Amino acid sequence: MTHHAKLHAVSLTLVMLALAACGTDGNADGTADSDPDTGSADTSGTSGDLPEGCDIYVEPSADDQTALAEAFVDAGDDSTVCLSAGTFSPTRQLTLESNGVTLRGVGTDMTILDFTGQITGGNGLLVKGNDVTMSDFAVHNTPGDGIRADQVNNVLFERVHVIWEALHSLDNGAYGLYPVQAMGVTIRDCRVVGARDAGIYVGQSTNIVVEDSIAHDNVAGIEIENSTDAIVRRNETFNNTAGILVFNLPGLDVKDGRRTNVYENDIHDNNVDNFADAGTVVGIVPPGVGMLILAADATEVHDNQISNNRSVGVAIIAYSSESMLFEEPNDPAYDIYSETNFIHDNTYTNNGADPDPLVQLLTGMAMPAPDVIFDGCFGEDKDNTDGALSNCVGEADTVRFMDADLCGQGMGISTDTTLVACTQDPLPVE
Amino acid sequence: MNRRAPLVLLALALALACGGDDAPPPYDPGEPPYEILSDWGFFAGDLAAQEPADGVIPYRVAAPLWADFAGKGRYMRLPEGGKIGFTDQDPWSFPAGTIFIKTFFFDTDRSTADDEPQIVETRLLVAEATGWESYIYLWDAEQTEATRIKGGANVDIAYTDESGASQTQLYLVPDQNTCGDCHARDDVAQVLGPITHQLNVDAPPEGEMEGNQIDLWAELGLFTTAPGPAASLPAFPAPDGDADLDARARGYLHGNCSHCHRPGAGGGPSGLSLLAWEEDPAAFGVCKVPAAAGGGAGGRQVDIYPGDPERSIVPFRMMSTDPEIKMPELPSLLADDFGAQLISEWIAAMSYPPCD
Repeated sequence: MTHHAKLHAVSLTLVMLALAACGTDGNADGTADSDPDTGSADTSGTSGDLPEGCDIYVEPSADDQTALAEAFVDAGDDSTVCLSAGTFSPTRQLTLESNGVTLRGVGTDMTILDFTGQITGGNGLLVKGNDVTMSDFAVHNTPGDGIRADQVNNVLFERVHVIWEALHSLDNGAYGLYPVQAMGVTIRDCRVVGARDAGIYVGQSTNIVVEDSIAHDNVAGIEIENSTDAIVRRNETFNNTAGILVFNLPGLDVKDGRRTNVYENDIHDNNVDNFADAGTVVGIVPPGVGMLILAADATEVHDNQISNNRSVGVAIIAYSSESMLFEEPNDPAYDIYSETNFIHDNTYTNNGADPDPLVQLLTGMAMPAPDVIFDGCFGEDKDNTDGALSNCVGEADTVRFMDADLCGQGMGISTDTTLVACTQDPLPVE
Repeated sequence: MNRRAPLVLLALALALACGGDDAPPPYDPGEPPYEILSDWGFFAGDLAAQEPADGVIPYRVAAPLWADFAGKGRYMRLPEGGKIGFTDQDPWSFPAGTIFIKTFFFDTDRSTADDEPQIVETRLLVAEATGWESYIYLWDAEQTEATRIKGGANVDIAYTDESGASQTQLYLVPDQNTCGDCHARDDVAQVLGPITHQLNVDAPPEGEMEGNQIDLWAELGLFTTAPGPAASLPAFPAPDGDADLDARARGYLHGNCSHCHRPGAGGGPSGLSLLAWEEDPAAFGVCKVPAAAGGGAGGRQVDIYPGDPERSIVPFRMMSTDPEIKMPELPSLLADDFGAQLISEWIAAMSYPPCD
């Protein structure tokens, strides 16, 4: 949008504000009302009040859908759209197109976008502009995904909640926070509850930080998929089917994700029965998994608290049809193996106490199931003489390890930690 | 943005908005985008008759996008002396100042062959210096004028169905930002219909020209370099015609899905490309495992299971009206039963080996 057109957009908004102000709500003198708690009786959804730092201000009204859509259209580059306290009830996906936009509410318990009545759109919010910041609001009950940021640079979610109030419902949407094919993702102090796939899902992206966030009662708490250079730290994931997933999946534009640094997370009690759709890869994850690395490379997992996950603490597996979990991927460019992963210095408490039958099958009915499972699969045609592709496990002696030899490349199921006694280079923390 | 400006503008806006019936319009009508459709001058005479003014060229596409039973009138206006850069694969290039005009209307009596259509909205794509910009005009009930809206609208369409019964249908006019959900790829807005495959058909009856559109446009000198004869160029067949099933299905998928399902567009991250010229069966869905379909998979394992539409995600999503599941992800509310049937037949007839 040109600068000129943007000014028109602003003036049009103000005309609408002014028209609203001509009504009977006592604001007809047009004076700016400095107290945001008053003067909210108009039905336009926007208000003459412009709180400090806001270019557009929207309050709940009789037609939240139109008010929010207009605000998003009027939001020019580098503008700040402020949402008041209250519950908004949009009925369609809302798309944010401009660059540099800040969308902010006044708190995750105060500003709520409730999409229960949404009739169209696969997401609640769809972000398409670069350098967008979202903060201090909550998205509730979208039929599809919560907030998708699609092919953007530098998206920041800070103090944003995505909540499905009906826990574990088959009607819940798949992803809560959903940046995909993004360069530069920060998710900080966020919370996602109830997602029917991954609560915090970062896909096909690079330069990612997910920190100080909470994901519970989702199928997967946090998933980093086909992504490179991610930091996942100081998060708490609990009551999910699986706490944290680091995946590489076939058939995607962006392949060969690597270097996810997972540290200082509290990954506990992820024992909820899987309520994902049966056709999804996440749908095959058994309940009780703390962390799962699937076909991903150079993941470092360290200094996490991993406790009370009933099937396994950490598992490293290939996307291999040998393991009976996967069909042969129809993607010649896809590498099925998990390589160069380094699991060390984590604290494990009471994992594997009641393993899912699938995990029992893979572990030869070990009881309790191990803290750390490696499926033992590796690419036989690859040169690993220098050990650069090896998966390494450096945990305390008390940590129960198993090489499950699912691909039949080893000597059968083994708990010999010397099979994985190596190190890989630590990943950066910035 | 200048923080002081809003107060000044607010005062001005209040003066305008509260000044009574004689207040001047809040927007300079001498400068687009006009607030009312008639100011553009696209149509001569009665606006609802949609009689193209000089220089406004009606056209049609071979494989149109389903839009909840809406019929569409399509028109193009090139700037004075402006010409189209032709390629036989999309996109064509259009000069700044080109405007595409699409009017959406409903047959309000589906029990008879002829009646007065109810026009609901007119959408514009205008090639401005910054790229294609979208504007949407909502028609009044009297069918005399359409007014620009930005935030979308819900319109109840009353109609008589095939059996003569009275029915009502909710139709959603999109908000302006939704235009980019389909029209933008790699952050650049595009026109979608005007490509060789889609326009390589006979011109619509409302024009005063007969014959193939590309040949006619070439005769009119609308291209910078005249393409070869249309008969030598690629074309989509009518999806409901009697051409080869594969060609009809691929044209339908292109027209209804490829705006998103292509690299760089909204559905690109899924890895599923439904461009008509995508040659890799795995890329157009054959035995392709979905990446992030969520509930959209419906328990099915692959986008297309050759020979078995019941096991294929693509027709399942085409038939759904659940916002989480339905495809395409547009503000349409009704499934295109014809399209879903066509794609199911296409999958059923596939001879690729099974996925297992």
